[in-house]
Amino acid sequence: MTNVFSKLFSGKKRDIYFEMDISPDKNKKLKKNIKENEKQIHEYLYDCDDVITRDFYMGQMQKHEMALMYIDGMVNKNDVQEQIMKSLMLLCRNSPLEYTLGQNFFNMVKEGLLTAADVKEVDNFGEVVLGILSGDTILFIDKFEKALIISTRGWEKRGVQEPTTEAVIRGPRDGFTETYRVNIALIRRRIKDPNLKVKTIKLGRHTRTDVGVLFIQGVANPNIVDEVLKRLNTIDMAGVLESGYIEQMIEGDWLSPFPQLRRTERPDVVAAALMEGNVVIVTDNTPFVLLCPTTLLSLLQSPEDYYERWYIASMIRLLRFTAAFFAMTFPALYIAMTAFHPGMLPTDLALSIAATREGVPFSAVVEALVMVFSLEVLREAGVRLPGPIGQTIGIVGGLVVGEAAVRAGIVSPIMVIVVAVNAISSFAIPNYSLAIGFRLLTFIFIFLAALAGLYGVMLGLLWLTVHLVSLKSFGVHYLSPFVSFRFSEGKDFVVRGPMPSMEIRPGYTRPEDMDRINDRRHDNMEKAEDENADK
Amino acid sequence: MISSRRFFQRCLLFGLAMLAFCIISACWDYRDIDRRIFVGGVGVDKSLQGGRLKISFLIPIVRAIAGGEGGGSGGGGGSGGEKPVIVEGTVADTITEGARNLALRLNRDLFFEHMRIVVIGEEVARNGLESVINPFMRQTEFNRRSRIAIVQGKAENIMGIKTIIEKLPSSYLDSLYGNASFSGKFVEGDLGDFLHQIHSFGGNALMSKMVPDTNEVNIGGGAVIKHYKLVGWLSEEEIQGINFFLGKITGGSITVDDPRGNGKCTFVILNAHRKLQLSAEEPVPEFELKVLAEGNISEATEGVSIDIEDEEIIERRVSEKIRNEILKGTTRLQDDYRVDLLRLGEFLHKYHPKLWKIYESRWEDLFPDVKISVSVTADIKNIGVTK
Repeated sequence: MTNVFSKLFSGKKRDIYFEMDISPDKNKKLKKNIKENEKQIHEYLYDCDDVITRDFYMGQMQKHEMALMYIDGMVNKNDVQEQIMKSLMLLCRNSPLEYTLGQNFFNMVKEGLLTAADVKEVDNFGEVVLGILSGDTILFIDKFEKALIISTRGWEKRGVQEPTTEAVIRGPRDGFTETYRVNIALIRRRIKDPNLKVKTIKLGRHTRTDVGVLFIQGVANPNIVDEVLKRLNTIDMAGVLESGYIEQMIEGDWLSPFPQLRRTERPDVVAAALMEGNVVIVTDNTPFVLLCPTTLLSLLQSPEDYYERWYIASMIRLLRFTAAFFAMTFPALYIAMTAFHPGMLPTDLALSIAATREGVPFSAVVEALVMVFSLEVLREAGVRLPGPIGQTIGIVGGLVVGEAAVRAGIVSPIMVIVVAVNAISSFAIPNYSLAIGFRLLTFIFIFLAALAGLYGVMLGLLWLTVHLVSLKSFGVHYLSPFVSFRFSEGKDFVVRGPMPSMEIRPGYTRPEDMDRINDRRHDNMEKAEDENADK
Repeated sequence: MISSRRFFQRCLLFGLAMLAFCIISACWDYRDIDRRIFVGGVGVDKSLQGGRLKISFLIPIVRAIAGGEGGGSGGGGGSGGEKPVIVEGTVADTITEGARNLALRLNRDLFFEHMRIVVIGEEVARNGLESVINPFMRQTEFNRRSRIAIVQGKAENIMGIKTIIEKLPSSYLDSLYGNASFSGKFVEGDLGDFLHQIHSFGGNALMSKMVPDTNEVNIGGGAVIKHYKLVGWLSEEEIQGINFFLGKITGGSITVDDPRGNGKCTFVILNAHRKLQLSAEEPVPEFELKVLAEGNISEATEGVSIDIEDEEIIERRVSEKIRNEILKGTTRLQDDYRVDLLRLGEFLHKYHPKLWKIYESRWEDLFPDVKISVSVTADIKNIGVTK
């Protein structure tokens, strides 16, 4: 049993994929002869019809043989034509070249003739092939054991758009896109600090996905940074298509229903997290960026908690906590109260619930399970359908099915209310992964309530508390600041304190630099008072 | 990664927790809410068969209750004419047995946590309450917030009333007690208070009294219980006086003659404070009661303006009337019933424990001779807007 588990879930590499015989690696150096190089590349990229090779000659006398290689569609062709070919083929034909031989010639091409912005010199096939596959253009020059990687990456991409999963009323409207560099730039635009470090690694044997680890040196705890890098480096998988792959590979407890990394589509959230000492993992090809370490509290936060004034922010935050509780337990509480402890309900309520259940063929548990299940189905169906229809199906479908079920006497109207409140509460949780976790727990709590009433619900909550207290995300208590509470952190806790009073950064990341806000308003006031006194 | 050992430990823990479910609780306690009968009230009468009790249970018909309000509700519609309650009567030796008798006739479980009212017939109360109130103490299911009253006549008459304003007689009877801020002429309290009182004072208690009519119930006045037996009734005024004495007045009104002519003048009590003091210990304890009643003039039939002198006269008359009521109540308890429902014994026990030790054994004989002096101050706060 345990062997199966360890085999299934251990991160150990298994030799399922055969190693390619002619994998391009960094040890294989380029040849002097351009034709040989081309041939070798074609061997590597055998049957890759989208690879384009362009041979040409350069110079006044057309005697320098050169070749360009790139993948069609991955490069910006305009760049290739304007920045490389035009400058090499047309502009230098009019006058004699300064150098025609040796290293000088190579340097002249690289430093004097190419008008592309980003040029890199390489001498091995590994980097060349990776460059081609990444969308760069390779320039081979005959008689040199070197090649130039010219950054011409340019493909069809989605522009910066408003994030759909984390809409806000007040706050910036830009969201991450699928392009790594754009995403990094969106973060860099917000934090113009040389201490913002970006460490890029490539993950996935096939996908070679760019994964960037971002943190602010001097704020982020180096232990957490090291831990993140260490865990990332253990990942050895065929491909990384989404940050979810990484999340699942580096999370601490995969049995937990709670997400241990926070994901966001919003650059402002990332910037705020960086300044709280978080480490950020940006993955190419996905707009979802991972933040770690994560606490339950941060998953229940929305960026607007900080953009709105503190009364409003605190009220909404409290509202969200209540919603989270109801998203988990509301149907269970209903079952426990009505079926085990109807004495706890006010008499009139008990009577009216009993009246609405009159003639309903199923017991409250079956009713609840059927309703929650059908609601989940509706939600899932709504996700798949295109936008406008999806919403219609979700709302109208829910209403129609609910109404019809009540009219047919299959479910009681109160149960429809209970399940609706439960579902709406779960949608009030900003983080979708967490909300889904809570929806999952709803079922467990329904079973517990059906088994043992409020006693069962309490047992479930107890288990949940024990689990949450013991859960850690990158060495940080998942429940902090509830555990290891520090009074000064109380200002950004259940309520969000007034902005000038939030003088220190939250302590859960154990940041190196605690100062967040220095309230200097009093300095000015004192100055003004002094000036008045002088007068 | 979770090690195999810890995994097994967790499995074991989970299994134990599941086992605990089976042992400690309770899935056999699962009962859907529509499978229960929420008994609204219990009435206890003397049966014609000697020595046994005739117990009536007030049972709401939930279908009928929701039917009237719901209007267009689908399934339970068309039941507007249905009676909202039925009264199930049974003859048994004890109340619990009566409830079990009903299991032979009713298909749903009787559930008493929503019980709002217990009424006990006069005959039963005169014979002795001790056995009747026993189950209400012994069983936790009986709601201690429910009300309890002695009926002048038969308890089933109360159960059988056809209420007009409220749908359920039980909630009607229960909410009658909520009128303490409008009138001080009845005994306010619930089953828990009553049980506490009757056992603390050796079976003496002041209880609510109910007088049934066809459509309504009069709750004014009170019943005097001495040694678990009903010994007599108190009038509304006497009860108001005793409520003043006990400091339980939260509202009510006093009407006196208007000093300016033949009209009447009504003083509405806003709140009342009392202060009880022991003024002498020997040979019998003497008590001094000071009452301060604050209120407004809500009605003065003689005319618009009330000047300060009139106000003083009214205050004097009001305080005199309150004093009379208090004295009426105390003399009735001291002379006629000879039972300490003024809680003077409790007062001594709490504040003069040494003295109480001396008097405790013969307090019952001593109580009628206790001297009580009463002084009342009425304070008119507001004479109302007259323009």
